[in-house]
Amino acid sequence: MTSGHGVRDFRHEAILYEGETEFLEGVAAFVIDGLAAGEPSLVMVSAEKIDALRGRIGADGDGLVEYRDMSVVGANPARIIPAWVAFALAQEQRGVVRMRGVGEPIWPGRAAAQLEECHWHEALINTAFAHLQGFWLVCPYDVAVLDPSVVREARQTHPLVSDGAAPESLRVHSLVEEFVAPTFPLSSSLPQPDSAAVTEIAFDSGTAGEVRALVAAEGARAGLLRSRLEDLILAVSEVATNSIEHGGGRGVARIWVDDGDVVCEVADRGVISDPLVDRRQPGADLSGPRGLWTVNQLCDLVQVRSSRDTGSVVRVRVNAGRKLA
Amino acid sequence: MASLVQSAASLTVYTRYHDCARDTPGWTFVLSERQSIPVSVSGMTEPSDRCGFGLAFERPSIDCPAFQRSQFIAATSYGKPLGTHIACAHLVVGELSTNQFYPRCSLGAVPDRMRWLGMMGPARLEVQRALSAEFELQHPDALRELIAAKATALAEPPDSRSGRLALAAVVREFVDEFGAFVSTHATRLEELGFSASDLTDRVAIVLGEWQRSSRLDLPRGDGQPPPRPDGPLPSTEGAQVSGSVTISRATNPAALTFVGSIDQTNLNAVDAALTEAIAGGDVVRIDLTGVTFCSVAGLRLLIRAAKGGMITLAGMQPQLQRALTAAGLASVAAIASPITDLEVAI
Repeated sequence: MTSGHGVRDFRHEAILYEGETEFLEGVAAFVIDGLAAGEPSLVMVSAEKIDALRGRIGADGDGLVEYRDMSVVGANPARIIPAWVAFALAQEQRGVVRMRGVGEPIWPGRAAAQLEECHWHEALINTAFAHLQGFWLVCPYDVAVLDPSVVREARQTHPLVSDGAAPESLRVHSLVEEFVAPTFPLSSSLPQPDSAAVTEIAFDSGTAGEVRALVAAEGARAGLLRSRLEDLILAVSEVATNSIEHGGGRGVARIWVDDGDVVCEVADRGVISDPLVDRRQPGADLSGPRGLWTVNQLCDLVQVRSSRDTGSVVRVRVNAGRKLA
Repeated sequence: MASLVQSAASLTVYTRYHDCARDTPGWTFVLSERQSIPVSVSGMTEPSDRCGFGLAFERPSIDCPAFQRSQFIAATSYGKPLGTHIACAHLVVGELSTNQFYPRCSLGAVPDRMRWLGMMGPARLEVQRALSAEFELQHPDALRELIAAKATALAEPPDSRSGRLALAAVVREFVDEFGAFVSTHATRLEELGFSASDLTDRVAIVLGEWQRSSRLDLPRGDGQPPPRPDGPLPSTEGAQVSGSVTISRATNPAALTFVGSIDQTNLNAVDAALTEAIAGGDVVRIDLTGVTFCSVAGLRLLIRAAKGGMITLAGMQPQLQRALTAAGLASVAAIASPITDLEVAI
């Protein structure tokens, strides 16, 4: 199976492992199998796991294995797909037709909102790479430490699930029955904050500047650093501009503090139809949208929800660094 | 208290920042209406830097974007307290050639206030404002306690020392509280260009001098001008004000200076100015030192101009550089025409 050089379909596979030893054995075997077949790998897991894997795989796999710290790349889960895209494009340019990836976007300690976006990210991977042949992506989930609900979600977002660490050694890939290709709009509603703690402002093209002023004042009050505040002002301004240009010319901006994060939300009557709208890397030709892309680079978490009935909501979070341990 | 933080650090206090994009009713109207009224002082016209609010700072909301709340307790020259007053950090006494006095804005006329705001930037002003407000919240009685202790010390007979010792203790306590506060927020202050230890030192010096003086009222500033952004403010002569941005052109060498916020309200004006500047075929220096906000669409215009003409994008503030990177435009800029030079302003 690994030695064949035919181009296979995109494979997105969850491996449910238990504990670090199983992780190391399974993932190292997967990467080494790839090396044997001349297939390059990108491994995005925690820094500690990278160290351990390096020890097993050795010498960076003769330049065929690239490691990236998932706690950095995936701090905002919406930045993970672009990292895979960049890897795949680079391989394609080198004429490589078969490549592997290991991505562990979920670890214990992810906040609820982050978890939700991680699951959405995993679902979107199926859409993003549906037509990318030759790419085999495995997503390790540690069933020993993760909440069972997280594992249940993983079973729904991955077309293939292996119980056990080593996908190749097990060779038991069950097409998960629950798996349903995600559809957009992601119309689920976001949890609502205590309305007493929310400052709200309606805006249109004439008053979009007031949204910036509101974010500046409230974000500063919440304790943001100047630089983080500037990033948040730009992010919210970009979302508000989208409302003005694509969302019916007006919108409502809300801001509040939640669990050490400054949270800003912009709602409008527009409908977002592209599920990957905020993850498509803008090109060098200066055309095309880059607003939501920019928002994802500036914020710690971005949640996009849209439906024909309720319109669109874009909620962004920036950590104020005051989180209680 | 606010005035103390201010005197110590030129920290601004309680700035009402209404984004400059809101150009009509509000404060601009109020101020410009005021300006347009000729004064009947023997041919004198109203000074353009007159403060439109005079003594009316007690209102809950001062509709001036440059307003910086400054709280102080005044006293008569005989040491009689006159109560707590709210003023603006920029308010100074102006004098007409007729020897009449008027409330003067130290920032200057309306365009100067706009430029000052543009160059300070909303984020910096709001962080300063939030820090001052938080200190006032944590130590609501600090100012009153200082004044009360000073009044007791001033009233005691020369051969008594208890009042002055008590005052010294109150001042010490205040300096300690202030020091603890600023060191808690050292990182945020550092980003604004203030060192926590320098601030504490200055508060100690200012209060020490006050403690030994015969004045009851706290010093309002120690002669320091209000905080100014680095570098000279560009001239507004011949400048075009479009929404929240001011555009000035210069020749020999060709330059285009933007001050303020570039957003969707003025994209067309910015685009037109850039197109016109490039059309001459000269190398044009685009000065962005005073741009504190630029939307992604605005950045796109700047980079497109950089690719299409011989221009130098100079003085990009850190937030614009971060925005450029986040928008994926930094790499585009790097492959722009070789003459384009992204100067870095720290």
